[in-house]
Order: sequence, then C-alpha cells, then structure tokens
Amino acid sequence: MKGGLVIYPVTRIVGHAELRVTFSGGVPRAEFRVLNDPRFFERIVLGKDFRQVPWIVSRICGPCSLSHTLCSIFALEAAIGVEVPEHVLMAREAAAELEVAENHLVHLALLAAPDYLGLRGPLELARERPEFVKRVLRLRSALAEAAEGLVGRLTHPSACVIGGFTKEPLPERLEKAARKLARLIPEAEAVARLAMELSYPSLNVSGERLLAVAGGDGYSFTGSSLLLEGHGILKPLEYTHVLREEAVRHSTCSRVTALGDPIYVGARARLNARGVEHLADTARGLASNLKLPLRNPFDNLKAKAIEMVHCVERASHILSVLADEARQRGLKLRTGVEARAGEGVGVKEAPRGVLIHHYVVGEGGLVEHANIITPTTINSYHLEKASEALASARWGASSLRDELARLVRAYDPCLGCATHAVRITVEVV
Amino acid sequence: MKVAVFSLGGCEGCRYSLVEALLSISDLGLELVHEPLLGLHDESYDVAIVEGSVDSREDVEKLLEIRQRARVLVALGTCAVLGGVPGLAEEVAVKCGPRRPLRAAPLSRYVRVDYWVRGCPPPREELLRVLRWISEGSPLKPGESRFPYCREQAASVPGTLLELEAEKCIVCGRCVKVCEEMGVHALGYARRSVSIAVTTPLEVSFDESTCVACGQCVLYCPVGALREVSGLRELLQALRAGLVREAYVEPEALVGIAASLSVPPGKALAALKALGLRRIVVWRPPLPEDALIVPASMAEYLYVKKLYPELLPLTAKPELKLKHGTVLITACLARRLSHSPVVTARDVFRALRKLDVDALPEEAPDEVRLSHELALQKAVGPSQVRNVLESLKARHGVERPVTLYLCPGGCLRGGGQPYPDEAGEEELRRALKAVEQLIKSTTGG
Repeated sequence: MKGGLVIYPVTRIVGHAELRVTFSGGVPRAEFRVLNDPRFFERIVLGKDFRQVPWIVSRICGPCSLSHTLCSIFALEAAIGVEVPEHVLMAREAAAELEVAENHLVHLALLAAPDYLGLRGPLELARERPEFVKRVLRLRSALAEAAEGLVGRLTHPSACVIGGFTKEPLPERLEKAARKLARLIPEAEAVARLAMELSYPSLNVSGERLLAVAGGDGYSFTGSSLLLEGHGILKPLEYTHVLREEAVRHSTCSRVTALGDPIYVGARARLNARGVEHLADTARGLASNLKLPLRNPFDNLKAKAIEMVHCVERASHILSVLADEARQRGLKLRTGVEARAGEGVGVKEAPRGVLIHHYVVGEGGLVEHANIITPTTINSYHLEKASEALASARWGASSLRDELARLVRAYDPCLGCATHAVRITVEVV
Repeated sequence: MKVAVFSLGGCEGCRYSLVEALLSISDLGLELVHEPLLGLHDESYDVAIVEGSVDSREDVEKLLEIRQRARVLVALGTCAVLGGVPGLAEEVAVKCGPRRPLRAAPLSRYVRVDYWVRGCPPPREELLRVLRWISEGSPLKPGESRFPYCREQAASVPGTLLELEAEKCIVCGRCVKVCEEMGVHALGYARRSVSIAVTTPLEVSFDESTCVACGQCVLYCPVGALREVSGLRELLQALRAGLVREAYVEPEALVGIAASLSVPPGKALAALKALGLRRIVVWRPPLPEDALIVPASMAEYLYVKKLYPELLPLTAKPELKLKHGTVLITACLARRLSHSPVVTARDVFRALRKLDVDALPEEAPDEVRLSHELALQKAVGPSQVRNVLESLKARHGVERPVTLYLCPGGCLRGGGQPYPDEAGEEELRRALKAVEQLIKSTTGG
C-alpha cells in the first residue's frame, strides 16, 4: 500500500480543516490539520477582572458558547468559593440541555444526514424533503426560544453570570416553553429515528480511553468530577496529572492524550459512561436496541440522536418544575459574589464532550492563570487514529474519500473551540 | 446575484446562528453558492459575506482574494466589523502550526468594506436588511431601523451644531458610511476592539474637522447618539416672550413637516400658528448671483472651503440676516450657520407632534415669496457636486455658473429634515404635491 489522500476542505463542519492520510511502508498516518486561526483567549483573560471572563471566553465558540460561559462560571465559582442556590443549578442544567439538543439537531439533520441520504447538502435536503427540514427548523427555533427565556439568547448568552442569573424568568414563559418542547418530542424522535437507521462501516480504535464528566443528577451534562476509563474518578483539579497537551506542527490545535493513549469524548463517551437507565422515557425507548459500550466512532451519531431526544424531554421537565417552583415559592436565581483569591477548575459536558476551564484568581479578583481544554482538542488525536484505522481497513476502496469525510463529520468537530489558544513561545509582535 | 459566505478567525457563531436566514435568501432573489457549513463551494460569486477578524497572514491573503472577486463585500458580525474579542489580544505567537498569526484586526484594516452587519451575533433582521439593500440595488437608507425610544433628545453643547454622545453609540457605522459617501470623511473609527469609538479624525471638534454640517449623519444614526444641538428651546422661549411673531418656511421644510405629521400642509401651517406664530410666509432664501460657484447653503460653501480651497475665490458666501421678529424654518441644517434666527424642520416637528394637529382647520400661508429660478446649472448630490468641482479644478469644460446641492435627493432629504422613519418616500412625494398645490392656489395660478 502506497500513496496518500487529502480531503480539503472538509465541509459541513464548524470551521476550516483538512484531513491528510499517507501510507508508507504499509503504515497509515493521518493528520487532521485544523486551519482555524489561533486567538489566544488564555492570554486575553490574564489581568482581567474575573467577572468579565465568562463573556470573553464565550467568544471561543459560537455554537457551544453557552458551554464555555457556564464552564468558566463553574471554575470561577470554585476558585472564589461561591455556593449557588439549587434553582440556579437546575436552570443551568436545563440551559445546557437545550444547547446540547440544538447542537445535535443541527449536526444530525443538516450537516451529517445528507451524507447518508445520498444528497450533497442541506440545500438539496430542503428541496428533496422540505417537510423534514421545516420540522428541524421548527424544533430548532423552539429550543432557541426556550433558551432565550432562561439565558437571554442561545449564542453568546447574556444572562449567565458568576453567582447565577441576571434575570428571573417569568413562570408563564417557562411553562409555555416547557409545553412547547413537550409537544415537539415526537418531532425530535422522528429526526432521531433517521439517525438510528444509518449504516456505516464498522470500525474501532484500539487503546482508546473514554473521558466524561461524572456526578450530577442522572443523565446530566453538568457534574463535579471526571471519569477516565482505566483510571477511575478524578477531581477536577487532578486533570493536570493525567491529561497531556502538546503543540503539533501540522495543526493549530494541540494534541491531548491521557497517559499516552487517545481519548474520546462526546455523545458516545457519555452514553457509554452513563448507560441508558437514566435516560428520559422516549430516549430510553430509542436506545433499547443498542448494545453498550459503543465502540465504533460512527456510533457517535446514534448517541447524539438519543441525547437529542433526551435533552428535549428533560429540559421540558426541568422547565415545568422551575415554573411550579416560581409560582409557589419564587425562584432564587442569584447569590452575592465577592472577589477572593483562589484556584478552580470547572468541568462540563459541552455538546461535543468534556470541556475543562481552569483559572487562578489573584487578590483583587484579577485573573493570573487560565487554561482551557476543549472537546474537539481532545478528540482530534482520536480522530487521527480512527482515520488511520479506517484507511487501513478500506484502502483502495473508491468510497474511502467519502467515508473519511463522513468519519470527520461523525465527530462533529468544532474548530473554533479547538484553536482558542495554543501553547507555544509567545513573542510580542 | 450569487452570494458566498466566508469565515476568517472567530467563533463562527454568526454563520451558525444565521444558518436559517442563509437558507432563506433565495426569497430575496439571491443564490447562496459558497458556504462550507452547508457544503457549498462555488468560487464565482458577486457578493461576499465575511465573518471573523483577520488573525493571520493567511487570512490577509484570503481576504484580498475575496475582495478581488467580489463586487460587494459585507462584514458580518463584531469580529469582522471591529476586531471583536480576539482584538483584545495584545500579543500573538509568531508561528502556530501551519498559520502565521497577526494581531486581530477588522476587515477594513486591509480592504474596502461595502456593508457592515453588527452584533455578536447579529440579529437575523440586520443581515436580511443589508442583503435586501444589495439585492434591490438600493443604497443605505436614512433612518431605517431608527429605534423609537431615541426620538427625544437631550440638549446641548452650545457653540456647535452637532454633538456625538459616545455612551449611546452602538458603533453601527452608518454615519461613517454616509459621511464617506458624501465625500467628507469627517467621521471614522478610533481605537480597537471593545474600546472602539466613532469620532472625527484625531478626535478634533466638528468645527475643526472636515465636517460641513450637512447633517446627513444625524438622519442615519439609529440611536440618537449623533444629533443636532437643538434650537427648539430658544425658539419656544422667544415665542412666549413675543420676540418672534413671523416665520419664513421653506417649501421643502413644509413638505418634511407635513409628511412626518401625516397631515395636509394646510394643517401643518395651522399647527405652526398654534405654536404662537402670527404670520407665515412660504419663502425660499435667495441665492447669491455674482459668482461661478453658488452653494445652496453653508454646507456646500464649507465643502469647497475644506476640500477644494483653490476654488474658494470663485465661490459665493451664503449669508443672510432676517429682520427682527422673524424666524426661518429650514430643511437645511447648515443654514443654521449662515442665517439667523433659524430653526430646522426637525426641531419644529418635535414641537408640533405633541399637538393634536388633525383637529386643526387647514390654513393657507399668509404670503408666498419664492425667488425666481436662476438660469444656472444645478449639481445635486455628492457625486454630481464632486464632478463639477473636479472639472472646475482641472479647468476644462465651459465655465458657467452652477448651484451646488450636496444632500442626496436635494433639500427634500436635507440634513435638517425630520427623522425619515416618520415619513417614507411615498408620504414625502404626496406631501410635495400637496405643497405645490397649496402654493399654486395661494399665488392664484
């Protein structure tokens, strides 16, 4: 086997990237070249007041901006020692679920699905199956509307701050959003069914380790610790012991390994880690035929479909609980915050997997150190390994090029996240 | 027209949150041909929408190529427009993987930008509005999307005609763009990223800048950050004290007021009387006749003085003092520099809209005195004015006297008119007809 293959640009992903697979001496070597510009967020926040950080780091990534906002808030609340009320935790979990559902929906229905339906993209999808696309957009706008009630807006949320929320949502609005989402569960299920029926090559990556957020209530997206396969539960601050981040020449995104092995995060990792028993009813029904653990990276699509339905159901449930609480006792959605020195790490399940924010706040509340590890950064080494495995199994097949592009899309990489910063020698220009 | 969407450095939240809007642009007669997120890759296009700041040498190369291919370039979102949050980085790496980073900068640092769509992320309506302008070939419109809560204006820094309140400014860039279109370039951006501000070059006062007081920026500002220093209070005081009894109203000002109040001009005249004026004359200030270049107002005079100083000796200076007890109601902001006492139609409209004008009877003007049409050639709008002055400067062509009207659309869209969100083109045309009718019937033919 000899030769090489370059897929550039990989389309229908959020960002610019190229996948390059070369063979020499019978050994495939894959490079996932992220071509987004580095933007040095970890330097931008240095010396800034800690209260400004969530709004700045939100701009790392548009699609998962809520995750960055919340994760930085978790880290900073840990650093300065703030305990937030129960209602805040519930509202944050609901918001996180709305974001996951929206991201999964767009990815599955508009970006990935055309691959498997033999269509060239969402525009063709809209022509061929207008009803399907309308259903997707209806669901998306319902999710965005529900999120608006809680966090102001879905992309770069305005109401999330350290200590809680800047506004208290009206019970009528929460109730209306909850009802609307509940009504749309069958629609979500219909979209998910499409993903459940996809077929793709079998594949697995040897030596992979799962990384997911552990703790939290049931199948949730916020939690207090990390789970690393083959190692166990880690306190957030301990991530530095096991994760290693290094710059590579071929990409603006660094490589992350755990004890030398590729790690995978995201929907597949979450489903493998949490199992199906805590899923909401409809989602559990969808997952009934799956055999866990899912070992094929392509299975990420199925896990996403299940999570999407779960998130719509559970967000609807939490919103209606919050609405009841608001009527009966009133919501407590804010607690006082004072500047204090300290160090904290926040972990969160972003739509694409584990997100880690780490800050040191000095006296006077100025940020002294920041480190952010995003899911796409973690997944990109795993993606290279998976591409190598796929290339070696299917070398010579005419469909390999398409299959590799689909593989990249199955990871749903988000390259704005991946290139928020790069640790290399920095000189003043 | 074919539309392409590109991303430079950024979070891609603009494109992501606007996917639905982008899917719908065929309704505007536009065709989306390049958007990698949707799997579209055509490299031949007319309109390029570019998101993100310029963060690397690779971005610069890509942007220059896009500018070369695209007829129209739209900057999408705060990063493309201002440099955004990445613009806060004071230091960048020299090399990073395959990219060579630069300090993040807005698109306009490297190329000419035709339209800006603001916001982080921008509202969908903003993008669609700009795309509609492009598709229909219509230019930026004054007062479009002016926010209703900013109609009331605070007053006033005495001694100047314009003031800029930085706190209110949303850096939407409409004033900068229209000032550029006027050929004046008195407004621009200073500083970077989140501390960016709209200001005059080197932040000098409007008097010292190239500002010619045409007032177009005031018409375009959607938040009332840029405004005319109001003369309303003085007028009302003078009326109450009985110092002013008579008004001279320019026909164009009467059109503007009547259109904005949505009443026939006769009712607008009655409303003026309700303010305390005893006598109203419909009147157009006479223009000086003894020069090659005749500026319609002080704005055109300042335009020549500041931008074509060598032509100033050929230019008449508009100046007029009205007799005691009268006030001129004008459609032209710059007349406040050359005539006195004077108040703009915009100011008068602010006073009148509190009255129940509909209930008033229609009245005729007490007198109509319009100066004879001079047998001069006219140059209307910034590009005609520029052409005339350029050819005079080069001294070719026949040198006949010419009157300059700088405002695009002439005095009907003068810089002293009420905010255009009150009156669209349609209402303005209707009011113009009604005023012509009124003048004809008053002068008896």
